[in-house]
Amino acid sequence: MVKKVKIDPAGQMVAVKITFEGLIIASYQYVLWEAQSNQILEKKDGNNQNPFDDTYSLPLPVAKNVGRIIDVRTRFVGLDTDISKEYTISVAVFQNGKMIDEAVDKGAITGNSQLSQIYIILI
Amino acid sequence: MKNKLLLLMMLALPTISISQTKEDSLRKVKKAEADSIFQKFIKVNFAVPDLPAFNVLGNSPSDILRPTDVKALSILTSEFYNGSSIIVPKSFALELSPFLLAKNNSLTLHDYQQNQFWYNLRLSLGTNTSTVNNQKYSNLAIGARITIIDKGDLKNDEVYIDLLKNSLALEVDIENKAKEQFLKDKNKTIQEVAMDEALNKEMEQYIDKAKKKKLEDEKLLSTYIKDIPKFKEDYKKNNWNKEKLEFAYAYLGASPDSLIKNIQTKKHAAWGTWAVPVKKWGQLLVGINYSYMYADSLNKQTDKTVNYEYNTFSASSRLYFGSNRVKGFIEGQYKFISLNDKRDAFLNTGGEFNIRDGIWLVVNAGINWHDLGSANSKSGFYSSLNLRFTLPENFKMN
Repeated sequence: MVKKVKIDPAGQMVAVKITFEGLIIASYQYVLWEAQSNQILEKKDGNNQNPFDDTYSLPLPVAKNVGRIIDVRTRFVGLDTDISKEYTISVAVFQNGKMIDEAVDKGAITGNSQLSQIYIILI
Repeated sequence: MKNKLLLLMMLALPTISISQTKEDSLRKVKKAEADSIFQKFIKVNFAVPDLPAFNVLGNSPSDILRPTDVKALSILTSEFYNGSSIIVPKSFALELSPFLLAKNNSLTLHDYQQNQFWYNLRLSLGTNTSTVNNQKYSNLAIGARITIIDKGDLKNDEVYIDLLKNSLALEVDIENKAKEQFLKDKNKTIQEVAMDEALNKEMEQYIDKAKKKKLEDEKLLSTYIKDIPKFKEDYKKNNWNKEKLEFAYAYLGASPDSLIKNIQTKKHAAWGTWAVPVKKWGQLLVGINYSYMYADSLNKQTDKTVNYEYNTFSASSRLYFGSNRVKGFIEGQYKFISLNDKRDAFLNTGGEFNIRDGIWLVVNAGINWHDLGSANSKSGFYSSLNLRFTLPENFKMN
C-alpha cells in the first residue's frame, strides 16, 4: 500500500504512530528513506506487545522530510482466529499534535505468517 | 467445501446415546421427556462441552463444571433435523463473552492481556420446555462464568508469544535486507519501486526467493518457525493440561406458560473448578458445587401444594490421563442433600476420543449410590456413549 501525505514544511515536528488491531502478534521494521535516494535515515524494530513505544518522531528541520518515504513492513500471526478474524494495521502521521492522515491496511487473519507493507510518501 | 459437507453431516447426524439405570422406573418415565431435551443439548454441541446455564438443569449425575476455552459466541440447539426435513429447534443455548463481542476486531493484544478478567467473563442463556404431571413448563436458565487462571491460554503465554515474535522479527529483517539488495542491484529508489506496481511485484518475488535461501541456514532455524500452524498445534498438544481456575453461577426458572412474568425460581447454583496438570500425561479437576433448590409437592390430604426449599453441596474430583486427542478419566463425587439429610456418591470412568477433526466420542460408565448410610440406601448403574461435535479448527464458511 502506498499513500501520499502532505505535511506543512513550516509546521511543527512530524511524528508517526503505528497501531495494530486484532488478536495478533506482530513484529515490524520502521524505515525512513531519504528522498530520491536509497539512503536509510532511520531503522527501528518494534512489535505490538507494548503500544506505547510505536511512535517515531521525524528528524528536524521539518521541511527536509518532504519527499522522504516512511516504510513500515510488518509480519504477523493471528493468535485466536475464533475470537479475532480481522486485522487492522495503521500508520498515522501527526503534525502540530493532530493526525493529518493515515494509511490503513485491513484484512482477514489466516493463522499463518502474514505480511503488511505500508509506504507513506511525504509531500 | 469438505468442511462444509462435514458440518452438514454433523447437523443431520442423529445423536448416539445409550443410558441405563436401575432406579425407579416411574420416576424415569416422568423425567424422560425433559431429560431427552437436555441430553440433546449436551450431545449435539458445538465447542461448548459444559455451559453453566445447562449444567443447572441437572442432566448428568456429575456436578463438576469443566473449564473451557473462551469463545466470543457459542451456540447450542436441540436437534433441527427430524429425519426427513429441517425443523425449527425446540430449544437452544448460547454462551457469549460480552466484552469480546463488543470489541470484536478492534481488540488489541495489549488490551486483552491487561483486561483478561473482563474478556474471560462469559454469560450463558438457555431455554427449553418440559412436562411434569401433564403440565408443560417453559424453562429459562441464565449463567455466568469467569476464568481466574488459564495457563493454557496461548494469548497469555509469554514463551509462546516470544517464540512467534522472534521468528516474525527475523523474517522482517531478512526481507528488508533483501529489499535493500534489490534496490541496489536494480539501481532504483524505494519511491520508484513503491509507485510502480510491476516493479513492486518483482521486488516482493525477489525478497521471497532470497528469504527462502537465507532460511536454509541451520543457525537461523532455531529462531525461525517454518510451519506456524504445526507449531501452534504442537504447542497446544503439550499444554492441554495446564492450570485453570473457573467459577460459575447459574439461575433456573420455570413458567407454566411462556410469559416471563410467571417464571418461578427453581434453582440457584454455583461452581468452582480448579484444573491442575499431573506431569505431562494428566490433568486433575477438583470441583465444588452448591445449589439452592425450590420445590413443591401436592399434599393429598389437604389437596394443597406445599412449597419447600433445600440445598445441595457436592465435592468432585476427576483425573484425565492421556493426550489432547485421546483421554481417559476417572471421577469420584460426594453429594450432600439437606432434604432429609441425604448423602449420595458417584463413581465414574470413561474416555474421550477425538476420532477426527471436530468429532469427539465420549464414553463413560459409573455407579450412583443414593441415601448412603440409610435403610433406604440403593445404587444404580449409569452409562453413556456420546458423540460431541465441535467446529473443526480450520473450518471456514467461505
